[in-house]
Amino acid sequence: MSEINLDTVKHVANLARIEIQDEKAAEAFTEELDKIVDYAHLLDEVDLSSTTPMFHAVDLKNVLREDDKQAPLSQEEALSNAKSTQDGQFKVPKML
Amino acid sequence: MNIHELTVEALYDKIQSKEIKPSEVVGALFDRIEASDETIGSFLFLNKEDALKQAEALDQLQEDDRMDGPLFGIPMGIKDNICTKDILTTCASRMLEDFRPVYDATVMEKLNNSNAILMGKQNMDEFAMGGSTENSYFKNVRNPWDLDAVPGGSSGGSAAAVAAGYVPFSLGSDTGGSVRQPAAFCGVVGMKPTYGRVSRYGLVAFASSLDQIGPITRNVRDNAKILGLISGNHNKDATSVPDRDADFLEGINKDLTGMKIALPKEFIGEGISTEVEESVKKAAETFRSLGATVEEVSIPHTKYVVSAYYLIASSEASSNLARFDGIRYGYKAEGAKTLEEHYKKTRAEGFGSEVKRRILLGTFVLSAGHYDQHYIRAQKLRGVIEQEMKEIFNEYDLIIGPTAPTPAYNIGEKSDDQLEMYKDDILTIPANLTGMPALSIPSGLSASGRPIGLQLIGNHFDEQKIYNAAFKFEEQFNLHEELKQLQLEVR
Repeated sequence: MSEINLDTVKHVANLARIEIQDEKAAEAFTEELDKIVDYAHLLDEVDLSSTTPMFHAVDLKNVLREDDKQAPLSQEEALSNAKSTQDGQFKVPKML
Repeated sequence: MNIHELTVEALYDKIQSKEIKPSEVVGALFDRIEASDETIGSFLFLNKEDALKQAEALDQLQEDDRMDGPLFGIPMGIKDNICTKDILTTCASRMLEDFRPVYDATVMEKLNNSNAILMGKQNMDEFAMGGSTENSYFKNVRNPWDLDAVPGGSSGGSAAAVAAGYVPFSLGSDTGGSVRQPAAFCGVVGMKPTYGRVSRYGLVAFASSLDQIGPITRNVRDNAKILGLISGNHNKDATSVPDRDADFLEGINKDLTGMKIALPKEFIGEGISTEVEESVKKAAETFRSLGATVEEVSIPHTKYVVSAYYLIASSEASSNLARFDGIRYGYKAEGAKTLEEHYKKTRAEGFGSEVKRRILLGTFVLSAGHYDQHYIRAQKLRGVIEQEMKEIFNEYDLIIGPTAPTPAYNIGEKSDDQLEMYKDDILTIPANLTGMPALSIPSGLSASGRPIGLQLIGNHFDEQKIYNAAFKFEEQFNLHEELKQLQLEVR
């Protein structure tokens, strides 16, 4: 039983916004991911029906801080690593 | 006196007594790095100009008897996924090739305030994904013990630099063993602290529920000292725990009589090389001779941790790495006509294949129809492992085992088979899944002269016990002389 095929990889790559350059690369990812997911199915043999998931290692609840004013990054700093800016803003290609 | 052989504590004392100047220390180490790191490949970037300037300023303070800070004049190397203000932080990725953070990580603030001197940023697997540092976008790292061998990973540059005598300490990060395994391969000491002990603010996130920053040093005392200095609550990391005991040098020399140590049979079973197994058994004898008891126990679900880990870590990575959009910082592909095309091209060209593989895996695991089957079940297994380990800690002080199934392998030997490399993480993953602290310390040399690491795992916040046992063990076995010999050869 194989969960991962070429279509799954293309679908997932689209969700992750990663272009897969060619068919060959897509096939390689398919083969590699299939092996890994297949191995992960080892977990199927464990009865976990009465277990609760553990999402985090340390039990911290409601970590809050005082709601006081703090200095944000300056506009110059915030833009300092951007490749494309205009009028003090990030510039992106057209969206629609 | 060979400056490069000196530990953090020894350097500190010699600077305090004015036997040597900070600038002499920094100068001597840069000479070493420049003479041989072209071969080793441990640094991605040297902070030479700033370091020399800072050292000269510290020289003046030394002359004026104003030597403040617990690391006054001590050089350090930092893994390149820890943010250093205005100083390149690339994560060994094309995606961040020219990225200069606008703030310091919490750990950098603390170390800078301690008057330590940043020598440079260290090579690693891209975004900390890998176990051999062969996934660096820039270059491989060679193991100073044997130039054909990998240094381990993902903090391979950090461990190699400490072993080679380039810096007395480094900081790495550990998500599934990335501090401990390279420490084992390079014959040095590496600690993954309790989750939440050290602030992750400014550590470029890989898998946020597993990542911790930890020190790599040549001996146990230095490691305990550095961890003490980087620990502590920070309000910009909501998962950092409230401040608590952090003097790990206290009680480090305590007698081990009565200490109860557990050795899980799964940790020395199938898949573990004979040499490694022998080394662990010998270590168990050493602990017995020191007055501790060592008994065999079982963590029955050990064989499932690799599956659970790669599902969880990749899921978190796929989410964390969504931030790399080529707009606010990082690599930007040319020629895209729409925003969507811009994202896809940028991420295709900016990420290496292992990073893509994990993002794709994580996206798959979290996608509709697979979430319950894979993600939730993996998190349940995590709970089972924690319960099994907690039960052991009800009776025992520490768990020991190997750090890695084998000593360092050759460069290129495993790089074509990701799954085989993933399986090697079986011994280090439990501490990340459970958030428990774990340390790797040298426990032997293989027949071919490559170091073997012993792992000591403690219950949450039991770093003190780990350091105590490791220090007493180190008095019986260490590679300090071998490291000095090695450092004579690496020039």
